[in-house]
Amino acid sequence: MGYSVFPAPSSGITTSNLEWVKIASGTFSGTSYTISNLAGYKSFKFFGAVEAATSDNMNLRLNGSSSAVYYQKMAFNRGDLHDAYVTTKNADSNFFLGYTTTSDWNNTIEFEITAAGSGMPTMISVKNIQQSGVWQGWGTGVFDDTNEITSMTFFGTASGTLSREFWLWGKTW
Amino acid sequence: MGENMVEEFKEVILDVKTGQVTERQYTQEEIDAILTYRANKEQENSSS
Repeated sequence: MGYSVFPAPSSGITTSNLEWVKIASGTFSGTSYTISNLAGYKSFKFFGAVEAATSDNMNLRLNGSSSAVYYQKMAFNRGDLHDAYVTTKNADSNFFLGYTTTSDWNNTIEFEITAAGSGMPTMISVKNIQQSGVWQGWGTGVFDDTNEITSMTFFGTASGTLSREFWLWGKTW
Repeated sequence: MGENMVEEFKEVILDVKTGQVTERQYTQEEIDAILTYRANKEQENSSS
């Protein structure tokens, strides 16, 4: 079961004419899933879905070597999908994308992240692709000179015994 | 369905360059942090 239709990446904020390539996809029921060795990719699109849960908060932690990441917090509400956010909650400058759901597989979300270059804003687009209208939030961030996301960790607030699915696309520099 | 199972607190790690998949067990310190995080999120959700 799960999200039965393989989602095609939608258009969004891009700075490259290169095609989106599928990096990884899968299903897991552990506490977290880390997609590693991502250096060399510039833009990412992430799509995640989770098994029915009373309340779950899906998160994508972006791990990089950035010494500083700045952001504008996003917050919106739509049905039981609410409180999407971008934040820098921990001391080593990883940042988080996440949202809260109390529904099931039908509540999915797509994140798009583009690291624009040294000292340049990093554009972040968030869309709820399950709705006919596009709900889009954005934030800005600045990476340091290294400016690369090296890995992503996908996890939820609810028990790690729940099944989660993900797809990740990327563009190279 | 899965909520009645016992969580193993493991991280699955995929290396996209090599395709290698490994697993790592969380340390007790990390588990405690996760449980605290979840509890805080539950509190936020219930009060929102």
